[in-house]
Amino acid sequence: MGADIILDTQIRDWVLVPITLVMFLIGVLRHYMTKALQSEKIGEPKTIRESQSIMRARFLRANAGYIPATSFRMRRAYFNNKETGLLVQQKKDAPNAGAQMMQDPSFAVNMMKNNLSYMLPQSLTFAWISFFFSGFVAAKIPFPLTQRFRSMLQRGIELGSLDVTYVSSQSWYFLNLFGLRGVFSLVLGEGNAGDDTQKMMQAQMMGMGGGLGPDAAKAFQAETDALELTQHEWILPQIEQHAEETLRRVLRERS
Amino acid sequence: MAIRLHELQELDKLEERLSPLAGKPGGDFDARVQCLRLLRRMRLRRSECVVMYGQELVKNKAWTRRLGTQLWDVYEQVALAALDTGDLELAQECGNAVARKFPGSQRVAKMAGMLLEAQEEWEEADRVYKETLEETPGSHLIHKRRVAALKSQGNLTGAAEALNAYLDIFQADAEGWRELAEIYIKLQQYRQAAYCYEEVLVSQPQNSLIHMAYADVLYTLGGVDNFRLARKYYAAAVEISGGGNVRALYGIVQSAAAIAAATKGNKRGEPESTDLPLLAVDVLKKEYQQHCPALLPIVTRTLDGQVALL
Repeated sequence: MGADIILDTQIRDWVLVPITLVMFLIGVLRHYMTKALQSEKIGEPKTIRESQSIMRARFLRANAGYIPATSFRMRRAYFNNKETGLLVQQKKDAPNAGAQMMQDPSFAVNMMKNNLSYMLPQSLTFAWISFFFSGFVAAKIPFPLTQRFRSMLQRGIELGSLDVTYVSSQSWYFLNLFGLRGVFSLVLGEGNAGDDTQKMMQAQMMGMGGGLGPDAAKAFQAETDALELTQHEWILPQIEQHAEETLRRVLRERS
Repeated sequence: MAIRLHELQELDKLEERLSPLAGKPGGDFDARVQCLRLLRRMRLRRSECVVMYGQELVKNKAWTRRLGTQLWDVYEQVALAALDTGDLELAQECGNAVARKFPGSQRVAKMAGMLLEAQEEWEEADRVYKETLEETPGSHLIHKRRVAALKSQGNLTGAAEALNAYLDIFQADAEGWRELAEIYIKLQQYRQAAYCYEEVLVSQPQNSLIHMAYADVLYTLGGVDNFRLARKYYAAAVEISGGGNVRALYGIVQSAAAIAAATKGNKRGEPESTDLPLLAVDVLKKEYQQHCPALLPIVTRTLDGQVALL
């Protein structure tokens, strides 16, 4: 590679720093906008019940060995009975995604809110970057890299002969997009951690957010099948021998 | 949520710094705010402390302005603490302030109900909870509060019903199942209690206390099969706790003795191994010798009586 390309310091002042700054400010703005738009989130009992029953079936599947065989079979019947089983029933009731959105306008509104605060700023900044700064070489990485990184670092510049260590402005945007996440959690996470505990608790309670989403019927079917295939292997028959060994060890240690 | 050591130490220092100010107006705004914030964050229930340092915060006009958005959290915290210390006037005052700001909120409804509970207006409180639940049936806060209210009135049957309604929606809540099991034990409905403990077992299989509680219920139910099951679950509790669970050790000895007594003269099925109960007896004796020698003679006599049955 012949002589190095010298980057004008003005590029740093007018491209590199502004992109980072703008992305950071947009991130902060987005944070407060989501906060302002957020409504007190209390799920519909039906959706909570659906996701919680899936979770319960999953627990049962994972730890079936800890309860006696009759108890396990009783529960499996409760979930999987062909007519009255909980999962089977819920699968029948699960509407397809389109119908659900038609029925429940708040579903669509919530999605709009999310999209507004996530998609809009992102596509706007991307449009802004590619309009003003397309084709810029914005920075140089101080260590050599292999050709593989070309697609990552030189998006928007189709120059095979350019050294890979030069970063194009569009790539700088993407690096910021993912790299600023840690900065946000530092700046925004610490300040309001105290009051978010309540919300976190609630989010945990809700299981997987607000319901199973559009593929509910599939999720129920998958869980039913998995549960049907689960073999009940009781863990406890060997437990007495294990306990004996433990107690022998305790006695040895004490004496 | 998690209690961190350095935060606890900070809290102790703050309390020391604040202690001369107790009940007096004025002084050290920052320390008061930080103290309350830490208590909220760690979910510690030091109600006297909250009321002592918090009531000046919410009464002082200049300070409420300085608190900013935190003010509402402080109001809620002080109100709930005032219920604990019996200062209903303060609780009412703070509760009203929050209710004016957030009408229709779950937390406000819960607080209103708790105020009524504190005045022993049980029916009114229950009505508040029921109405809120009709509007928002997915509110776990109100569901749980309703169970707690029924329980504190001594209405265990009602509490069991309410908790069942909650668990029908929140099926994967292990703590809820555990609570229901304890209520059923008090109602002496042991089969139902066993079912609930099984539910907890599948979600927390590494908790020795659950294994032990389940074994207790099985033992109480009685019958040779249940005694055998109980012995296995006591063994599991012993194994998981590394032999440190004394109650489970007793449980093994007791259930082994019960099995022996019930199958006496009846040689059906294979005889149970006596290694485990004898080992348990040895460990128990060692424990008492080490930690409580005064009781050792009584314990030895009791245990030997059980061993004789095997």
